[in-house]
Amino acid sequence: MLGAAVIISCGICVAAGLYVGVMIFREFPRLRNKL
Amino acid sequence: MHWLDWTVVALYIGALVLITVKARRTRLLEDFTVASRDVPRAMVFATLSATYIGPAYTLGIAASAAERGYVWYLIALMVPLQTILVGKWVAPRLREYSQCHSVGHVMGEIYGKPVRWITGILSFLFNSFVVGLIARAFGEVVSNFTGIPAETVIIVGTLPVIFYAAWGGVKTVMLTDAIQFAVLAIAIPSVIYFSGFLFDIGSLAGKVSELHFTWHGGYPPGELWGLFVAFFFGEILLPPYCVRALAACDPKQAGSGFMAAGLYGFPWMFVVVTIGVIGGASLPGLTGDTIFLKTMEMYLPVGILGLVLAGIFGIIMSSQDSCLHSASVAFSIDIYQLIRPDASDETLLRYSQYAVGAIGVIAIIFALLVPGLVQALLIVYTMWAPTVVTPLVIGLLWKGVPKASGLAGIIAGAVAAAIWEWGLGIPYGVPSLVAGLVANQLAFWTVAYGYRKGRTA
Repeated sequence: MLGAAVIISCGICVAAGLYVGVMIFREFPRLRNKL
Repeated sequence: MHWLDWTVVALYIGALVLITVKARRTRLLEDFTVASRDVPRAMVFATLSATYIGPAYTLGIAASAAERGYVWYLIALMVPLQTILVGKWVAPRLREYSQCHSVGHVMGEIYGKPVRWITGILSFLFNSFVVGLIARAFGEVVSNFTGIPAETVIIVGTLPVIFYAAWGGVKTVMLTDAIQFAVLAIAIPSVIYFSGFLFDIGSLAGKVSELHFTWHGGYPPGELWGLFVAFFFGEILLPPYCVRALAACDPKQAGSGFMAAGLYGFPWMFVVVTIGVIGGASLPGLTGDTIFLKTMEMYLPVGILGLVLAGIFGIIMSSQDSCLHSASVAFSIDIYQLIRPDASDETLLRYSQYAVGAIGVIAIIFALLVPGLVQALLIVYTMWAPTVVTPLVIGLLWKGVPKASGLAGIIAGAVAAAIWEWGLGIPYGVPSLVAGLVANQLAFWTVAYGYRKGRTA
């Protein structure tokens, strides 16, 4: 169970990082004006 | 460290500065303080997560987990838990104060000028000390790891932060925070992968004590509850977090951004604690904040080590820039504007930017010269939750709150916390934060009750 929790936690962290990274990459022209 | 790792770190810092320059320079006060209140949910999530995940919630938690194990996951969870609760009930109401630029400003709207003044001064002192403390911790940790003099690290690490915080205000702070979040969220879990324990975590059981896998970690119940309370209230509604709520597009997005950041803390803390336990198993006898970095050094291949170190830089810079920004806004909006109510927005913006530079430089000097900085921070740290937090939450939830009760709560909380901490020497091991909160609430409700009774009579 501990092993599954570690794998899931790492997966969620990396997925969230990728999501935000892609969002910034795609939206940077808009964000730099909007923010 | 290999030259390739240094190249990755240099590229990362260079990219941050380049992105800052590409983002437009702030020309309006509202841009500088609250990003024109136009920050979408995903950005609130990323910037808030990057801000609360500071050195304490990576290097510090990992060091404690190396010593005591997974009980530190439960303790650290208090922070994401309070963030979710704030997102559900407090952040949307905070965002409704559409004319306010800072937490002091909101407190002033609820309780009047004296409370705005006190909150502004507390916020200014707290954030300024945190900038210095992070610079010093950053210098010492990286110096231990790389052998570069701490003074060089403090100066080189803090100057880019001063530059981009002054250049674009909270706009660039949030943009760089989001980038830093992406890097740290991807890079840090790789330590577990390269350690070889990702699919074999059970093998740690024989390498650390059994206490590492218990819910209490060997702490006496009283001390454990003290830690839970201190972690729940210690960082609740700090000024940089309140700015994220004020800057959101609307109350709904403020709330959901906070709740998402809180939910993210659940896997994040688990990853950090697991790295700490791996460090404890791999480097027996080693204690302190460097255990995280030494574990990285032990397992990560060339190139990846640089990427993870860039993630650590991101963790440090994203907390430092937010506190630097909040200190400058507290100075211009809550202190200077009260002295000069007729100051124009242009003047306040200029003073905010000057304040970023001045606070940053003073923080560097303090970090270089003053050994007792931690003690100075603790004084202010002890003062935030027992004074401002509960009157702020009650004021947001109760529209007709009597103004005098806020001031009474703040003064009683500060006095009680100070006496408990330094006068009585923390009796029974109960944190001064708890004593301050109790006194704050007693005074607050006594005055509120007296006021209502006076009105009905």
